[in-house]
Amino acid sequence: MTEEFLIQAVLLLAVLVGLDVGLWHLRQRKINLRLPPISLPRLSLSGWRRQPQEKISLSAGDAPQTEDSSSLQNTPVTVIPLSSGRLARVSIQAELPPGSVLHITIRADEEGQVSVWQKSRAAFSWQTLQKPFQALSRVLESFLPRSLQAWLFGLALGVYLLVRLWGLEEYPIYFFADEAVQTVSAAELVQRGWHGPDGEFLPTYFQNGRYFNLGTSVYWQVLPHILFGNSVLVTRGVSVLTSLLAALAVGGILHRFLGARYAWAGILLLSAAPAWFLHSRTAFETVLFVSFYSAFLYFYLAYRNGAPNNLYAAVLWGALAFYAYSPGQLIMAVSGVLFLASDWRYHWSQRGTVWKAAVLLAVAALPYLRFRMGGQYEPADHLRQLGSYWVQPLPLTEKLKSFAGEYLYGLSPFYWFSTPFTRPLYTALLNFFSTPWFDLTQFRWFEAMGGDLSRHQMKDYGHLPLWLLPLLLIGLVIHLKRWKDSSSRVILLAALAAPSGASLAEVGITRALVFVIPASILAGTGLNWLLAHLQSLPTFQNRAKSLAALVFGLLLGINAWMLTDALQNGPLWDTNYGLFGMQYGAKQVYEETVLPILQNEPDAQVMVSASWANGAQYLPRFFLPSPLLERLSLGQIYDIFQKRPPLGDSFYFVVTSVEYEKLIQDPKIANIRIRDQIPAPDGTTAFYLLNMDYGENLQTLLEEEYQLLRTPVQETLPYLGQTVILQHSPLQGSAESLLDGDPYTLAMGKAANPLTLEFFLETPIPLRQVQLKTGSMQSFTVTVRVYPPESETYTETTQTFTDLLPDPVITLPLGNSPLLAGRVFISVKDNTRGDPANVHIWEVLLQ
Amino acid sequence: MRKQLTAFAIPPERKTGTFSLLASLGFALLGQTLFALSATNGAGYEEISEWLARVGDNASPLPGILSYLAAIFFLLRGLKQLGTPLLPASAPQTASPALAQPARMGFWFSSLGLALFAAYQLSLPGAQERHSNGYPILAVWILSLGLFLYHQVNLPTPRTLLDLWRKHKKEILALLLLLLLAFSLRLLDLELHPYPMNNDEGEVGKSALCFLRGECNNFFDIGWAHRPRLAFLPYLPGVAWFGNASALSVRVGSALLGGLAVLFTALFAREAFGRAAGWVAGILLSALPYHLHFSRTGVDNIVDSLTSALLLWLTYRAVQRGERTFYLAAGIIAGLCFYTYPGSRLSAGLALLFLLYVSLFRRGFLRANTTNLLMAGIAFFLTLAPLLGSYTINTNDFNGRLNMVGIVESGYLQSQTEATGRPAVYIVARQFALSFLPFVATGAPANFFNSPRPYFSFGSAILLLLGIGLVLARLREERAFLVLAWFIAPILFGSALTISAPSSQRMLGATPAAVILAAISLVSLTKALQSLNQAAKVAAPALLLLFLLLNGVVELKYYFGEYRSGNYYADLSNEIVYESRTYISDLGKNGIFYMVGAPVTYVVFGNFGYFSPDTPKFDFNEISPAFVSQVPTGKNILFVATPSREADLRQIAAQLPGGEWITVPRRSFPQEILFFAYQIRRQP
Repeated sequence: MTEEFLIQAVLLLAVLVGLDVGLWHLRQRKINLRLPPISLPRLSLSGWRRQPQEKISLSAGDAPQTEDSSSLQNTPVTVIPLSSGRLARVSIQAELPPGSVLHITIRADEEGQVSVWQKSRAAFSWQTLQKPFQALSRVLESFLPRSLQAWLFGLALGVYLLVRLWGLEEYPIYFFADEAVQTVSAAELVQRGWHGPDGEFLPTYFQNGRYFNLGTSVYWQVLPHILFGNSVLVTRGVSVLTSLLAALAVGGILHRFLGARYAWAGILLLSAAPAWFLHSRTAFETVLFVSFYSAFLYFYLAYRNGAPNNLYAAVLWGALAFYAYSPGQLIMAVSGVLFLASDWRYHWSQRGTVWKAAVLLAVAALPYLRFRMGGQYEPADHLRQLGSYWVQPLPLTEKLKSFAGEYLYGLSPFYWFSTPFTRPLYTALLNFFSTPWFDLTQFRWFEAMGGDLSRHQMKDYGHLPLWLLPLLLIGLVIHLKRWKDSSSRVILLAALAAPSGASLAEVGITRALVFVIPASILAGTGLNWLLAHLQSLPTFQNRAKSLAALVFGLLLGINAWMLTDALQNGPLWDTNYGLFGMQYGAKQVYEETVLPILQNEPDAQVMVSASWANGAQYLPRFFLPSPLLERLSLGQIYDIFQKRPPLGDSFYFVVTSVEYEKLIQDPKIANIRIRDQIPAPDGTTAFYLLNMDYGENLQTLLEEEYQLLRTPVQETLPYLGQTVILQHSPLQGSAESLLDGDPYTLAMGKAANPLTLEFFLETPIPLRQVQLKTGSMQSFTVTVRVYPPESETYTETTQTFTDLLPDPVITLPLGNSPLLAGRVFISVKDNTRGDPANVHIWEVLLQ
Repeated sequence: MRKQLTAFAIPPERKTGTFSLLASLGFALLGQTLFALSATNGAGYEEISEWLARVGDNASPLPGILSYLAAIFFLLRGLKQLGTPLLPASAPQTASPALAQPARMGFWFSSLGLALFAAYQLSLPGAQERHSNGYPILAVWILSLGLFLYHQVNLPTPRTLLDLWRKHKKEILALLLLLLLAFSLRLLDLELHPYPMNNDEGEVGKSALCFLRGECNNFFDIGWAHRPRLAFLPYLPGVAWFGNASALSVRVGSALLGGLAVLFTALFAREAFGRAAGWVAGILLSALPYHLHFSRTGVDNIVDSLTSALLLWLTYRAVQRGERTFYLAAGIIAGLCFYTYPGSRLSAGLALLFLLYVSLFRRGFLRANTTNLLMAGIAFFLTLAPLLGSYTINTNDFNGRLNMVGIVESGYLQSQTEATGRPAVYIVARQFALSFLPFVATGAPANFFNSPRPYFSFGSAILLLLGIGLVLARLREERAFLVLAWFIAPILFGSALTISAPSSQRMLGATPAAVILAAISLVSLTKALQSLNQAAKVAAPALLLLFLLLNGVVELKYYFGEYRSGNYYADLSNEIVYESRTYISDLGKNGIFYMVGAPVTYVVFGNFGYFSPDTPKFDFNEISPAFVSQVPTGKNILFVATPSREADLRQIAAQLPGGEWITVPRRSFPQEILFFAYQIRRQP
């Protein structure tokens, strides 16, 4: 531990001393500019003497040894007496030839002595230390920025990187499957010889669970994977380094296109935006999208500001952004349209370049067209899976209203700036301004950011810090006033485009994250305006550097504070470490627990619970080498009851603490032996590593259990304009979802195969056919029995379906003429699985 | 002869002033006498609402206060009539060329970065367990400060030091003499006076021992009584040198701190009110029983007087001279104030208050000293940074002590307002009276001092109150404001706003200010006296010296005489623990010590742990044959019983025969038994 500490300290010291040398060098060079080329001016004080009058005299000579000195009569000398009458600040500015030596004599009055503070920027008394540093600084000279602002720009980028790379694996505390899947897909792409799972060469999109939404992000991880293998640090590190594009773009836009003197402030403001701080430390594809989008903005502005060739780069970055993140597609489209309309005159004037860029755009669109034409996946599918109102059976006006509501919410300060501390204030204000006939609290606009999951928030911070709001508003006003300036317009339009992707479903921080870029630029503009005004005040006149250093220090402090807070307190912000909370434990389970077992025990088998993480299947593929995966299974302990492999000390189970509590009470399991415990950050046990044996009478117990799961249950539901009694096999999910007319709400049988549904109709209906939307099954049989009213005889129709499309809708005709049905029995049997099985039914329609 | 007599005559134009001064002294004597006669150490004297009603019973400070008001009125009038400045002039400033700011490369990033790195390391969860990094973190911290100062200050060269010595030889020698006096009075018979050693001293000793035994390495960790462990650093040399065999080893640290407090009090007074005030303040403090007492107990309360004197001297000097070195030193000391007894934080607050005051009322100060203040702020931050890091994972410790003893935090204020039906303001005012009166009128019961006499002697109490009057009259002067705030703040925040007022142990920060106030009035009176005639010019300094001598005798006689012989500090439990130490330490690691001490003495008491850290110790209070039979055989065993538990010890001795019965009398009351011991030796 001490060695690690010392190494860290020494490395840090080396970096910091380097920065100090750089700063020293910068200050030194400033003097060199006056006195080129080699000799440094030397200031010497000739002490104090008792003389009748205070007098300052200056003389200059070619060398200190000679007496050939000349008085500098015209050299400006300022003496500022201070209040006590005893102190004075003397300021001398002298232009001297190279090699000059400046002698200053200060004589005090006869009242007493005078103490002299000597300040010379050029003399460096610690010669031994100076020489190697000077040599180093000469080497570095060509790389060094030329001004303080440039230095600060570079330092801001350094700070940006440092606060992200520092403790990258520790915060966020989870390593999410959505992060792992990028690298896993990249690795598998390489393994398959650059073909996708379906054999497609260089596929446009890769699948993440049910979504086909991974594009650029997978390709982006290929090279790091090949070079460094799989690790949390590398996967996230790639994301962090890419996010540097966003920081560069924000700073660059402020500096180059908006004329901001303190452009580096924008970088530090972006860095301190909590939403970006958190997400840019993850490998979620939204980070890549935001970064590419920022680069797109930068190059578009470069194109718009007189360098037309930058349009090609803008198109390329835009394309990368488009393929990086599915909600980003709409944002790119909206941005493109808005920019096209906003600057159409300019585009027309550059039509030669624009046409070529259009060709490039068409080429960039080819992968997308190929994907769409493949018919694997529709954008509507994605929306459906996200639960978007847009694909629900609603009137268009409702959809537009919802869109407008969500869109405006994506721009709402109540969403971006609310924290638990400000929420009561907001609520009080809303209640104050609300009236019974005009309730503000009903408006989505005024909702706080409560909808976002805790793992996407820095607790108590807000997505953007509240102190940024005034700066952002100042910037907004400035850019609105400069609306006619294209650069300002582009920033405002980018802000307007930002929530469009999220508005199609529901505003969430990952989907609306790109808003931090225009927000940082606006706030950066506001801060620059503020600093410019401060500089005009008498107190800060001629203190631009001090002011810059002060603001830099302040923003640096905020960044450092956030980093410290996140690393130190972040693990305890939300102590729900399970599926609906932080999903903590990927690294701890797979890398630190499972991997050593599988490596060290050739006979070991490990079964890891999958209940605590979304997309759990990607995590072992990320952390474990392929050969070891054969001895790993994901799932619940109950899943092994069917095959019942021999258990023992080499069959390990990794279960969550909740599962463990259930297990120890379950008679089907016996002799549980805890081999290890994986603690959560709050010290509680998150996971148990177990061995166990089957309980006595396992078979009997299972049969009893299965019997219970097969025994139909009854409930009364409204259906077909009447009340029906539905007797059905036990379901996971509500039986209502079978009859709600929505084919995208699922009910799943708990165990029964076949799954049965029996309708007892209050009023008999004529029945012509039964329509069912089922889950994907390779082969299944549907049986329908129709009972006439008050009768036990029935008409049965049976049909077996095989190799249908995923989640098929099947229709079972019941004959040529309708049957009068008082009771309808439906059975769906998965022919590829025994009993138990989870038969999925989305919708049932009696027609 | 006539000529000689005229030397004694008072010129007519000075007669009114002389009369006023005499009237002032008369009223002050009367006021102090009334205090002495009326003051009771029982409850009720501090009840402000009853002061008027109790005048007739001679149980109210009101007549004394009124008399003092008259005394102050006449004093101000007299000094004005005699043309004597109300406050003595400050000492002439001398330059400090050796400490001028050098032109060197600034390690800005390095110093800040290293301090933040140290803070970060200490803020990591579990940092406290990683003791192995304690010394490296300390080194990083020191390096951070060193790099920062490298750019800011020049250390004086031997030549400049020699020049300084030549120039101020007499004064330096005199200061060394004062320091020697202060140390001597603090080290004299230190082990046995005050007697006995209290258990908090043992806790301090344990904390020092922890470092010396290599069990603690992290100076930024939070240790006993919510203190950062660095607070115990001054006690390390004493414990290392003398070992953990007696009270002396722990107390030496306090004696050093107290002695240095005397030095810096004198330096501050010299800087602000002139040389004479400096000497007087130093001498008064060196012999002040209250300060002496806490300089002789091995708990770090005394550090408040050192931090306040040192920090305010540096701050005052920095403000007056505009020298960067003093700003930086002030910043560092202000930061260090947070590493020690919590009362010292008040010193940092006072320094800040003073800077605010000067910034507000001295034109151009802020503009001229922006950089100095900024550098002081950075020095403060660099010093404090590691501790801040440590506090982020020990947040409850930052105000841990205050939460326990603060009248608001502990709920005392609320309960008092409910119980008495009086407003909170009244309760606080009563607390203030309770805390202030021990300086001049009442005794200071309990709270680690338990003196029946006020902190100040009769004569010096008069000077203190007159001094308060003088600074009140010149409150617009920076130095007057500072010294008054310095005096009041510890009384208010250290005692009035804490439970069990008067909290002697928490008002030590006020002692330097109190003696300076007394010194101001004494010097002003002396100067006024000197202005009367030729004879007075010679006689007045002699009278001043005489007063200091007499006052010193009175103070020392009280502390080393009456206070000691009266056994005011005696405590049976502490005595038992202290006197049993030699018996217990004989047991070593392999023996076992059993304490039959309930309800008086328990083995958790700090002194047991300090003197015998390795000996297994157990409370043995439920005596039954079954229990006694479980005492291990084959080990050396020592049972110690309080006098009230003699029968229990005899029962043990009967069941475990073969041991030696020991009876130990009290040191202060030899006719009384202190404890009984029963020693069984089973190993050589």
